[in-house]
Amino acid sequence: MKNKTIIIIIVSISILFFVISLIIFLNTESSSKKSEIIKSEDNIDKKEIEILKLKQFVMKNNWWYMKPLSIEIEKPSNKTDLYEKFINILFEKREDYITPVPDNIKLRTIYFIESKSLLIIDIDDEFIQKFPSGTRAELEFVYYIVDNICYNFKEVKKVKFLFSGNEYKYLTGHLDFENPFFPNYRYIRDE
Amino acid sequence: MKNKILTFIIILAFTFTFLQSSTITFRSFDHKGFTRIVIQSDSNVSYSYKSDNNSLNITIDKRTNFDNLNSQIKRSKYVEKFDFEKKNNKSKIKVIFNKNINVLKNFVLEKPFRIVFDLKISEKPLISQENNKTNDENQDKKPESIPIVKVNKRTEIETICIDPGHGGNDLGAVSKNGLNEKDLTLKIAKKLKNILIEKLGLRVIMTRTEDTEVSLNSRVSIANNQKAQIFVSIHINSSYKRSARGSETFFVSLKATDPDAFELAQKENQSFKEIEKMAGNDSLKLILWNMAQTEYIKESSVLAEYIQNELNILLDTKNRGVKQAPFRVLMRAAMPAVLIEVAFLSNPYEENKLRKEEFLNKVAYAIYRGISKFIYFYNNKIK
Repeated sequence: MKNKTIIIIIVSISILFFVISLIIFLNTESSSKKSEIIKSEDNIDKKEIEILKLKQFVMKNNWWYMKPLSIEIEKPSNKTDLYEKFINILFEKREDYITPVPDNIKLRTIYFIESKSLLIIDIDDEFIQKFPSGTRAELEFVYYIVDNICYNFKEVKKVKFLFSGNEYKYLTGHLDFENPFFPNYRYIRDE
Repeated sequence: MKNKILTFIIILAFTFTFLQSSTITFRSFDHKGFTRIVIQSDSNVSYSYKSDNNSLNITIDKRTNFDNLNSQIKRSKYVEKFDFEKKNNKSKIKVIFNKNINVLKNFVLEKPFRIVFDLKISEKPLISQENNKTNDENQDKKPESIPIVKVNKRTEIETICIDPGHGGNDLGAVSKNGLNEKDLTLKIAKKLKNILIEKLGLRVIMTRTEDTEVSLNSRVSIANNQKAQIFVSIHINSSYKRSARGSETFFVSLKATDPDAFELAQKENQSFKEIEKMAGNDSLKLILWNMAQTEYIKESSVLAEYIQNELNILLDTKNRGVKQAPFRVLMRAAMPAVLIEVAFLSNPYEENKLRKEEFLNKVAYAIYRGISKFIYFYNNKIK
């Protein structure tokens, strides 16, 4: 009887030891797999970071046309992020050039409708309060954005503006904002 | 025998030419508030006229004879002198008045054919040529001829719509010193209206006559409903570039709105219905219906050219030229339509100019001259 009890205890301990070992073994395997996955993902990220060279057409007081500057931006993983990044660069104030966009204007979001080659830019409606009236000012703003985008991203053929998600028929009583704008490359000169 | 036949043919030709030429008579009457000049012809003739301070020059595109016996040259107390002259295949009539005149209207009456001028006689003393030169420097800058309006009895431009940009809460561009676009556009529009009525006797409607806000759609609806034949929108410019200056005239751009619509519009001789038929899909149809301008794009470009040329001559501002852009107010205009940007409120030098009544008068006069030339072009085209 005493022997039987000892055997049971030994078998139980062995089983327990086996189970613990199995658990440890399985855990180690999954964690090494995980680290491999992370490693491989890391490699993919490193591979996908790409520097894009773009042209930003800018304006100066005494220039009749917008002229190009070479800019470099890190290529994000998707197109929408790329457009967003570029538009934010267009909105930035530059010391040597005129940015025909009111100060501190936020880009809310953008949508790209591939089937229509249409990029919809949704800007904070603070823009409307801050925008100076005038035909030329409207033309400067519209074609600064539209020409820059359509020139650099050929898949975008037209651009529509929304303000805080709303469609405006016109901005300050001149251009038609109900329809999308097509680029007008008469405003730029690619040198 | 041969000589006899030749002489007979020559005599026949002379007789035929003589019979072909018309005879005209001249009459003048003083009515309450206006003086009427009537030139009667025994056949239909086409003509053009120019009016100066105290003279009216009428050119008849046909060699005519003057019937002195049946004319009443001196009946009006304001007619000073009457001259008749035949030149090449034209006849020229010059009427000199002892007061300054403005042509209120001119029209044609049938059976018998009569050309009628209703004139407003100014009670102010006659301006001499010398004073005129010093008082009005525009005279020196006038091109070869002053606007000629050729009236065609079939169709003629009778109604013009002037659209003073902005108004009410919509101030338009505002200068750093607080000068508002909406006030300037209204001033110029009123001046232009008066000149058009006085000089051409046209019916002029305005989209606003006071400081009120009118939507862009309403503005063009007014023009369409009133069956205006010309639409002129007056604006003052403003730019992010402080140095931007000069005047520019726009007509609507189809290209900047939709490339497909643009391609269709290239077929300018097609009627609007034909263009619509060609538009295969509904969205394009909608665009085209929204763009009533399609049918008038060519005329609009001519109107813009005429006005811009006159602005360049008279204003002594930088010529920024005629341009195209997708202007909301022009798109649905069912008539030749342009938008004029007179000068830049954002430019301190031009802002200063815009403060002066004399400059605004010149602007109105330049636009009037551009419109006059367009009417001449238009009437000739539709003949």
